[in-house]
Amino acid sequence: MASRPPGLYRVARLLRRLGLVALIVLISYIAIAGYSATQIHVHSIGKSITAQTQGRAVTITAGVEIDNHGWVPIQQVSIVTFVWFPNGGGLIAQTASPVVNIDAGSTVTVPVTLTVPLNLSSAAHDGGVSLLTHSLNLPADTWANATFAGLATLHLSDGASVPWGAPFYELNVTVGAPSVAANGTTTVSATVFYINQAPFTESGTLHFSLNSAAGTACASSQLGLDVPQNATFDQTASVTIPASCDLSGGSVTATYSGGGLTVAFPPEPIP
Amino acid sequence: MSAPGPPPKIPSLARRLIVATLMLIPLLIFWVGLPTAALSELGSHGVDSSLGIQTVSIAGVVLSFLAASRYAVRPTRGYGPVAFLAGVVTSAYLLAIVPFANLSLTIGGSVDLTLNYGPALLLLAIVPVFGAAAGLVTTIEDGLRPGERLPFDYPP
Repeated sequence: MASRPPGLYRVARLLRRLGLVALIVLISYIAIAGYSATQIHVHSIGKSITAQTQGRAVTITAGVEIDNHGWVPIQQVSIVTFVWFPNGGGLIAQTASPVVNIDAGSTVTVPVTLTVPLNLSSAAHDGGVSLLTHSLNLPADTWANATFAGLATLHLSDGASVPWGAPFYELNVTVGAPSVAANGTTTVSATVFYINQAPFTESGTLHFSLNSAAGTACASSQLGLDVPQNATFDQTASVTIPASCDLSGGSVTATYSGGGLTVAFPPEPIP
Repeated sequence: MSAPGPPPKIPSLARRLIVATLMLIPLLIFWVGLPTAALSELGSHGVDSSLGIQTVSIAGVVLSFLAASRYAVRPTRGYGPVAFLAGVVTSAYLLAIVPFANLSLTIGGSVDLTLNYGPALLLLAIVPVFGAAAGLVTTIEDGLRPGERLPFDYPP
């Protein structure tokens, strides 16, 4: 027997050993990744929701907190969400989180920011449901992607509905019967009723205008608001209107200003 | 010119076939038993796999026989080609199932989770390439100098 194996034999042997080493390394890595996957904790998206009003929109910020206590990184984490009106009433808002990498042993919050224009109404075929005055279950489509340890990719799709609390739920401005004073001025009462079901306190002013059937503004007034979440607002204001103005068949228009938010409501008819 | 050394101690064909048959047991467990058990267990928990148990079983049996047959034919010139073939087929199998490497789970009727483990299979597909390359080298060696490796594979 020769003391030293021939060259080709040694090459073949080296290749076989390299294959064995590669197999052991890969299986060890997969085992470590498998263990690490059990050390990941995802906290609820509802843990830290904040709502901020600005202009005609409310910006809802949520965070999905991911604790990666494992030994391998989670890469390319991203979340995309679309929120719709029910019954095909159209798109309300969409958002895409930044793409986040989560190193081993770290905790990262993936921010999801959704800007909802409050003056939106659903498509005409659905009766023009307004987000300002209707609390709804909104269909939402969410997709999340992540790459784990370079070994696997995870895709999540969620088609659950999300509850929407209207800031002026069931808003109703009721105009009372006109009363004529001795001096000839006409006064009507306007009662404003609604429930704040939005996740923020409304602190501001509700300006409203009483218009004739021809659209002429007969009179206007305003009410100060300070309505916490889930509280009911029910106040009556007296408005003096010129004798020449007939409100019959007219409309009430209203605008809310406060907390950085300015929104106009759809006109309400006066019977 | 050096004197020829003692002849290699090559096991008989019957002995090699017995050992190869015994080798089939762990090979079948690895290539057939574990994957089908995993797929069945996942299926019992509502996790659907794009990869069928039948596919895994048939391919696993083929790969196990190829791997075991390497031992049986090792003293012959067929060893290199069989090792090459086993490596190529194993690698090709792993690459072929990459598009089907999906596990899906529906939670609560609205949440769909899909895990794609194709990247792991792509990495694992590298391993048999070393075996195929070794088989190719052995084929060349056996072609150039038949029997040269036998004293090292089967020391006297």
